[in-house]
Amino acid sequence: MSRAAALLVCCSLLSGCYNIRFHRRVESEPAPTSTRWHHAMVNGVADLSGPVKVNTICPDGFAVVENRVTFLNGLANFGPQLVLGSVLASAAKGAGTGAAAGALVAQSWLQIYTPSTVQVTCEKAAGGRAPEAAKPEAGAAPGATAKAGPPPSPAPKKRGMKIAVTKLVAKTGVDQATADLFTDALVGELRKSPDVVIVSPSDIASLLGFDKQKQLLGCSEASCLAEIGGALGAERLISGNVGRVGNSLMVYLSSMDPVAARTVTSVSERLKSSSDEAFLDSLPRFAFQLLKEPK
Amino acid sequence: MNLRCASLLAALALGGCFRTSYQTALPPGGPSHHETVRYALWGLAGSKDVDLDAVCPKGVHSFGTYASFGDLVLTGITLGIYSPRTVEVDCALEPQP
Repeated sequence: MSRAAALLVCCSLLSGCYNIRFHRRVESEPAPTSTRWHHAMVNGVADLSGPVKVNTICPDGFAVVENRVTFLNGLANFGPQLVLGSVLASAAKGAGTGAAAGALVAQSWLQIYTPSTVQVTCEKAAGGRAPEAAKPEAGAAPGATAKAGPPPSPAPKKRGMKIAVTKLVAKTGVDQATADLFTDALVGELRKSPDVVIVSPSDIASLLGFDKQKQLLGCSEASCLAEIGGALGAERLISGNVGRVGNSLMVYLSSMDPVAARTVTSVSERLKSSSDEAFLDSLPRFAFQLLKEPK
Repeated sequence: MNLRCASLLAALALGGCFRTSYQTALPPGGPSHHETVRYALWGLAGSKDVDLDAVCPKGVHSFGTYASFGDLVLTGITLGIYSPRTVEVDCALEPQP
């Protein structure tokens, strides 16, 4: 009772308990985008709400996340504690002083329902980095890895950006069937990102006519790829090749802007492995790099 | 009953409790950062502002707070006068050059 009562009192006196704020160095929207309760039971061991997926709340990036135990959270915590207290008191009634003391301790430290409030504020849509980002890392928290100023962070693509993926070209040591499987795996990995619409090679085949497909087969020049991307209405076109030299898998992937006919980002890696699985193991990293664009 | 108590204690000791975590779309694999946040009087006094860009210049995979076993012991023996929590930040996998 005493702990729950103290929690209720302290939360009623101030704006909240256990205040914590996480922020990024970007301009935030003026008001919180989402305010929700985070539900947990048994001293928070059972996290009923699970992890908060901030990228779902803010597809274009979050700026601030705050968590606190508010007065209403404290009130919701207090109710079940009263019930627990009365149950334990009746159970300990007539069982001696030790049992009563045990019931009091149990009631004090066993928190049945422990909600808190989470506020997420998204990054301002048209905003860039706040001026603070230009400052040196003097105030960097322990564990910061950058010695110089922070590099530009990955800029999330605008929601629904259409990205076409062409079949990876098999180079020496890799057959086209394996390269096609790599392509499918890459498409699957890219589709895990909620912010993009991925057009797979089979989608491309059904969207383009026979003549265009024939043209695509021999297409590796930037101008040719740009034409294909333009025909699909894609904002990015991902292409590449994979080959084997000795025990290394050589991977080259690029993401290009068909309108500007320029490469936006690329991946060029040597995977030291005799197994093709090295490519599959590296897929999350490849997808991350291909979807990352400097601001 | 003893088994249930032991399970609860093990969960408190190993998993940490009062956990609130947040996930982004960036892939895991970067360095992890842990820091104790000092609160007093059941969280009434004290607050913390974490600069995620300073902790993870290449991006954050997940972050959050929880009460570790040590935090719970300290909270218990001080009757909540000192009630720390632990901040956990997992950085995203750094892109290869």
